[in-house]
Amino acid sequence: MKRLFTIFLNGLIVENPLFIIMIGLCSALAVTTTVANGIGMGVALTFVLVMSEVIIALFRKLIPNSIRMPIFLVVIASFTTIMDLEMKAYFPALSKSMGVFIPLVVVNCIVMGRVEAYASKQPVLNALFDGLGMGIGYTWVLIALSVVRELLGNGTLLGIQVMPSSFSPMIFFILPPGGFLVFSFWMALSNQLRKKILAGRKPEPTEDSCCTLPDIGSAEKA
Amino acid sequence: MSDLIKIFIAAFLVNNVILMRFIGLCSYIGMTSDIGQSVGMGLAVTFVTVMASAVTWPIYYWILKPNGLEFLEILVFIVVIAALVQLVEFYLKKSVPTLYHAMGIYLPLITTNCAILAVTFDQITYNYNFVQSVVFALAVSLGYLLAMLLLAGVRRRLRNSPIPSFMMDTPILFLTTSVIAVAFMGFAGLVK
Amino acid sequence: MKTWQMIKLGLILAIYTTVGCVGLAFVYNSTSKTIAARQAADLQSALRDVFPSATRFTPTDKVVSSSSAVVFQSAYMAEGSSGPLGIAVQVQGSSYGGATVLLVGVSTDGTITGVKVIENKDTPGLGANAANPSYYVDRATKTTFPGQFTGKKVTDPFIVKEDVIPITSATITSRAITNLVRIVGKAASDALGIGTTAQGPKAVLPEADAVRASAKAVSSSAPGVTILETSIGTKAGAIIGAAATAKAKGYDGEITVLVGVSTDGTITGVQVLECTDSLGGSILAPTFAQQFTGKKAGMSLEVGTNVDAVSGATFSSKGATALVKATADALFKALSGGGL
Repeated sequence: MKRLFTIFLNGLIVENPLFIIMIGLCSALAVTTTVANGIGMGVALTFVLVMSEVIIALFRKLIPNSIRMPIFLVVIASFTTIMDLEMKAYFPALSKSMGVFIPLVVVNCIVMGRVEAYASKQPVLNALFDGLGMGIGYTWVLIALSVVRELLGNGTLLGIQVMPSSFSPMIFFILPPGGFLVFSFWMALSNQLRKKILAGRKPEPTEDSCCTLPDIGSAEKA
Repeated sequence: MSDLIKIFIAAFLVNNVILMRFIGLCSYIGMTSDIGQSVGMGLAVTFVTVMASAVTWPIYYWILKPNGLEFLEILVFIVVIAALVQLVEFYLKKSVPTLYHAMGIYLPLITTNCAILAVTFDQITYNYNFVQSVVFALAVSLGYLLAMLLLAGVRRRLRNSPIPSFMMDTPILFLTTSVIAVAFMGFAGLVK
Repeated sequence: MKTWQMIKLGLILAIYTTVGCVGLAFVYNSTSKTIAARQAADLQSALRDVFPSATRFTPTDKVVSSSSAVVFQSAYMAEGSSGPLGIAVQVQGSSYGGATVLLVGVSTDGTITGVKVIENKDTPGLGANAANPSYYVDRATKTTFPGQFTGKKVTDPFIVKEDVIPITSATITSRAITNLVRIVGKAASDALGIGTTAQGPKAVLPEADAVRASAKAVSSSAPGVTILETSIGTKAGAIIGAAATAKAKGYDGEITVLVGVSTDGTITGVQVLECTDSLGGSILAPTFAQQFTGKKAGMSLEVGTNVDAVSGATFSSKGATALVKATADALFKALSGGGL
């Protein structure tokens, strides 16, 4: 039980997909103009991630190594489509405001990366907790980003006015440059936090096979 | 013709895929530590995006739509792109080895590059015809290349700059990107 | 052995794909009904918002868009217990961030009964405020941007920053929506049989005490200009001038103007009757047309030198200016040559 909990916590900070492994960035910055969008995207990705990890961990022995990539793609694309259709049916407003970023979950490196690096080698229960941890690790970052952006950029939180009426919204934070800026500062903050947690311990190298070339990428880190 | 130019400018500058729409960010951060590398990746993406656009358009309008199978869009597009990347890699290796050496190493990263998939979805959403779709794909991917080059250039300078320690590594890259994005906001309203 | 291996792998992949597709088909079947039902319910509630007292909405195809850039997706005749109340049109046009869809209601007396933003992809916090129910263009009366159209007459000018209050920092969105409302208003009032141009040629021939249609047609030598109707203005029986409506291509739509010219070649008045350019609606402002009064037929009229463009609509301003000049020249030629 304790081991499963450690797997779960891993995704929250130490190996946070956004701040540390730096994958799945597109949707994180694009949809976080409002907190509602941030939560919606987080839940959507967590759903696809957990389902894909569980299914692939379950069938991992029945997936021939040489064609594992296409099979992963089929599984992930299926769950993405299911999530897309369900959102259109039950949360049409949310689905519309996120637009192309819902189908783009299929190429979100978090899903592909975790399925490839983790779920294809681990038992179902481990994969389930890894999916949950990574999904929630992604979601909290989205909420953190969107709280700052919606509060400063629109004066509201979840659509409810919280800033005094004398506050004039700084639209900059809702526009793309503001997204980059807020993300940059959150990342700096999270890096400090991680250094504290890992003080004395040497962090395991995190691998990211989908955005950088392995050799050059690691050379720069070192 | 003027609508094609409009589409091109809008997708290349005004709605730049990375700086304004955040699509393709992973490789933007991951692949710009070296200018040569970012050019290689940018060109490989351009090549595959235009091909993917030209292949998925007929699949959607001639196969999926007439049969009411639009809901398979995501599944079919991603599989088609994956297969396309494999084919391109295979073909380049055999027939154009020089080109393969230049961009072959980037091809495996391209399947999961969201810019390509986003283009194929967008051309359907915007109801573009075939020619418009291909121009749109070209503009988006050249916009991607432009953004990559801009950051790669800045990164070269950053290496010798005194950066506050808490902003070291990636945070400073996003801060820089924010400033580049502010500059790109100036293109807003250029078209329409 | 190798071939056998390939076939086996192919089969495995095919099985996974088939299972995936079949699963998706099931989900699609169950959700598509919900999606369709929800869209129908959304449309019904939007229709009710613009025509609260209507008991029935019947689809109609009587309303026709005057611009190729503006698509009327659907139109409904609203009927109350005592007969037709008006027309509601779901209209799509382009705005800053892509397509914008509105539902516009026009009553039988030519009043806008309501505007609902169904879809808008503009910048969050700026253009997207068009659809924000708590964004007020007038905080005192709690009027939203689309809300301000309610009660306007279809004959109103619909000009942003004059009779329409824009959304702060989102002029393009404001103009695009205003333009859509005006086009729907015009089309719906045509379909309902309400005239929108009340004054006619007399307005541009202020000196005349009688105006009659000309028996002879006047044509312009300028390419692309079509002169539709010509009228002759008389004072105490003598011809003192002539007026004509003329049409030409604008930026991406069409411009229609009414021009009056006196016998000495002075332009006595100009009205821009219609402009279907996607962002050219602002040239309908009377201030634009008024600049031509007093200018002479035959002289060069050019935006930037002796005609001021309406900001944000330079192409349409240029088009309208060229059209006014061509019409005035043709009228003056006809008047002095005795061709009327």
